[in-house]
Amino acid sequence: MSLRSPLRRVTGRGSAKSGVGHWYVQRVTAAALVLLGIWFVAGLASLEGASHANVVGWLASPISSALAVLLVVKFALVVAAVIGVLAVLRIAFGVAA
Amino acid sequence: MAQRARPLSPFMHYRWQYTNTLSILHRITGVLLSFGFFLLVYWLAAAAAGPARYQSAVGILGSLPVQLMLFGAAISFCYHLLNGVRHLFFDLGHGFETRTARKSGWAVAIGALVLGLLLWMVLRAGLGGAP
Repeated sequence: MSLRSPLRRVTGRGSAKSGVGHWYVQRVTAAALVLLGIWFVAGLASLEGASHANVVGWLASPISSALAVLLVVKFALVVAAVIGVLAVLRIAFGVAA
Repeated sequence: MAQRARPLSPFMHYRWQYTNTLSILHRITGVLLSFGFFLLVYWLAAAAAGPARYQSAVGILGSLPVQLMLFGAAISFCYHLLNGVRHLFFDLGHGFETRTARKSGWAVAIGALVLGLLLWMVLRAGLGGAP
């Protein structure tokens, strides 16, 4: 005799209440951040002094690409940071958040 | 009535190994980087706000406490980047043999220190040379 309710078996999501979504998003953003991180650091390194003109010139010059990449940098960083911190908190406090 | 002992998480009773340290460092550097992210946003916002605001931001970023934070962020960034690639290979099913995992672990640790110091010097030179 099973102690599981039929409803539980039908929804089939177990005790975690979610599937591989977080795991998968974390891998995808990680791969994106590898490329974006290297791009960003390479850009920093190629600046000849971080004067305002240099920094703005770097971030504004190839208008479409730099702005698009920056937006993605922000987005990818935020998503990965939030998911990562949640994962650490979950381990630290044993919360199924 | 005797209470049965609850099962423990593996890290509670396995012998501590070098690779355990690498694993927990990945999480710690990740948490540090999510705070370091605020410095990056601050820097970008200051650059967008114009030369005067940027100049005062560079003053703050060049102060000793923030320099220490940037040093930690540089090392953390390089460690998290290199070890993250190592973990992506794990996720694809490569490099699980004990010898390989240890070797890649040493490469990541040493590489992170070397690259982190280089990145730190680049950041310092850039901020110091800002007129």
